[in-house]
Amino acid sequence: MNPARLPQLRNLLAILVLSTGFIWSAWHVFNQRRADAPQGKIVLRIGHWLMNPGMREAFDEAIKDYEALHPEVRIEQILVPTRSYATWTRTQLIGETAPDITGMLFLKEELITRHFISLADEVTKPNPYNTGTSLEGIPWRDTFVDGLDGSLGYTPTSGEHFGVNLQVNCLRLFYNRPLMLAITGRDTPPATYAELRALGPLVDAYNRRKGRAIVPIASSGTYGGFLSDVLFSSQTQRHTLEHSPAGNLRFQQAEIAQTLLAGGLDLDGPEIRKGFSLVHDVSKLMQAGFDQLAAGDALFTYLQGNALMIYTGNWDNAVLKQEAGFPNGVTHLPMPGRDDPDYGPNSLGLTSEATGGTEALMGVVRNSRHPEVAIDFLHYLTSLRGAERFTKTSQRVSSTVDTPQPPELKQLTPLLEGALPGFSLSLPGFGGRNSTQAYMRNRHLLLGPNGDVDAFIARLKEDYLPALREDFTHYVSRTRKETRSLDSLIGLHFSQHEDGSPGTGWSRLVESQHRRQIESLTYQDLTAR
Amino acid sequence: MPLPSVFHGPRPQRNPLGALASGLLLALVPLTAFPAPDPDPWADGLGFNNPAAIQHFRKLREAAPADTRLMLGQASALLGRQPETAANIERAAALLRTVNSDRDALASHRATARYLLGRIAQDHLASPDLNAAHEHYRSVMRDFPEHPLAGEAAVNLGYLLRWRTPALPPVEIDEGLTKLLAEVTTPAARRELLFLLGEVRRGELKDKAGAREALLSARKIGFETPGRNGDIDLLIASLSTDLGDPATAITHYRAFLHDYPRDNRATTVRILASELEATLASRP
Repeated sequence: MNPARLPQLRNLLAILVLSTGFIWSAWHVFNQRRADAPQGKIVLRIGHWLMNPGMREAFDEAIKDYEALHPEVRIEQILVPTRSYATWTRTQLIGETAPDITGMLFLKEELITRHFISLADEVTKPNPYNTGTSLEGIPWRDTFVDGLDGSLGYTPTSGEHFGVNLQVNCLRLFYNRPLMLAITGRDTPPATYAELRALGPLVDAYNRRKGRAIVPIASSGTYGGFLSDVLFSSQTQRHTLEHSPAGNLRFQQAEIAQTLLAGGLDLDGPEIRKGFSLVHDVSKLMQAGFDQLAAGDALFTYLQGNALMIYTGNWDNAVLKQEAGFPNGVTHLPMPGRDDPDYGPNSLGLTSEATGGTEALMGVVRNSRHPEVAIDFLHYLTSLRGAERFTKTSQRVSSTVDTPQPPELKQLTPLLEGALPGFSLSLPGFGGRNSTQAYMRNRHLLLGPNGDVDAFIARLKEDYLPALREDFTHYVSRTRKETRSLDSLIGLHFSQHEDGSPGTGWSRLVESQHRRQIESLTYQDLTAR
Repeated sequence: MPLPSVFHGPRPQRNPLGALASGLLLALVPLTAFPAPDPDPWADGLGFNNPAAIQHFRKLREAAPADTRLMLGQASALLGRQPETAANIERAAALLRTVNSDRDALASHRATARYLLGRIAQDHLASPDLNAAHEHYRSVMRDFPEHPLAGEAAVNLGYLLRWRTPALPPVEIDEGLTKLLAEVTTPAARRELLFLLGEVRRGELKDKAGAREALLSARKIGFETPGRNGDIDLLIASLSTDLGDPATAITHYRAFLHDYPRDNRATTVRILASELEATLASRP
């Protein structure tokens, strides 16, 4: 071969490789969906993070049932771990490759409204799969325990529904029944707050007798936080009833912040001190240093039989059933009754779990090639029949009303009858979360046998209140920004049609804007200067 | 016939990468068989994709630069563009001023443009120009009284009144809001002004009876935001209880229970209503 021709041959080879690569890629991109879809089938994908035991199986069953009803449809599950879900969804949505039905965990309103189909009209119509049931003819929205209010929390600016939720969470005290019998002489749980407190000395006595190191309640940073908030908020129930700023028997986070910063609520006030005192008392039943532990550590301690009880959500029910080597009992957390001399006066009793705690919000993405089929599958999943089967397999409580619950889930079903909830000061997600961080990093001062309510309050005054003002400023600033962005939507509505008539929904946007304007104007004087 | 001279002589040096590029471009030709869908900048903007909306509006305006509908759309998209910049706000304002001054533009577009100019002056400038905002709102109400945004202009005037610096005496705020109410016929705008009046009377004036009167009228019109009717029912019930009117309180507690049976306040509301009913029953 002529050496002078070698460079030309190298170039030719490079071109050949590049061209082959390009042609193969193009062919692959154009044919990917055709290759995935069996002839004549509609293929749907559903992406979510729900990998707790029972969930994947429940979805598999629901998919199989739906495919039996609709043989022209094939549905695939795509499971993504929670820790990578936020990045995954964002990438998929922006790249317009997201599954037809995508779970909305961690998503902000801007991404939701841009990439998901609005279900505003759909939720006003009955779910066709509820024909012949007690939910026949009822608007889809009203077949959910919270009326889909929880979903609106994701899209507060537009006020439109973009997703439906599948289940409801609630917190419970799970207990080791044989161990309860061994320690207390009965395998029934403590029924009152006094009995709960009394478990401490009983467990100590058992440990001394048996040379064990059982803890009464296994806990962690997260689970301890849930427990603290539930306990504390029992002491602000009466305050909420009597002093709700909007007169609506609620204390929203911004109202809590505003009241604290304006001096209407004092960290030294009686209900606040009682709330902290109650948390301190119950924290003595948890293992030392629980605040620094992960949820998995608490579960491990309990499953190994080294804790009598664990306070967690019904999402752990399946793993507790499957992994514990002993039978579990379930009960509500025994709270101080209204006749309790210390904590009764501020309390209104066991809190209603009627709204809130909904989970697994699912929506249909705009890039779906079969949005009507995707919505139909969501109809099926959330119908009474679909929800009943789903609940049985997942061991999770459905958010569809009237869903028959298996007997073993009865104790895990949200309590509808109960007093209004109070509020806590942890303020998760408020503003820039500085106050939450200040609260959490000082919480150790309150907890355990060496905890001190006065020391905790003193530290909150120094650390938490300034952080709260920062968060409040952040909140007001964001509210004003949302107000301004609504001007854009209003202008677009009024220019959309050639005759100048506004698009539907403009009045709801304007109302949403007024609420924000009033809020930001009302609070402007308290923001950090 | 001999071939043209271009085919004779030494073979020209060919650039293989140039050949590859040409080949790739040719390979893309089939893609033009599937033209992109017509852009819909309104759908983009309403879906919070303001960069795409602005780009599409610009393109459409190249073909129709005097189209006031497109100008209004582009201005609206600029108002929503993130991050917010003074330059974009000024561009939006300039477009809106053009729409507003175009006598041939649709009245609705001119009203919207003027309203948005008021909103810009009130909330979008680094230093709000509240006098200009006031003027724009007043002119919408004067020149386009039937336009839906005329009522909203009145509501914004209500905010300027209530949160004026230095603050007006509450009695003057009450009078001013009452006067504005008399000028507004749109139910939604009346509702918001009534709510604002209710808040002034409840807050600054400590006039529970006056607050309740305003809120009852607002509630009669009804709110669109989910849950808001219920919140107002509870507030009216609470005020009624304080005013020694258990019958009205019970009516509104029962209305709440009817509309929100699964709310987590329902049990407490039921107890409050029952207690009042017992009080009423025990009266001679």
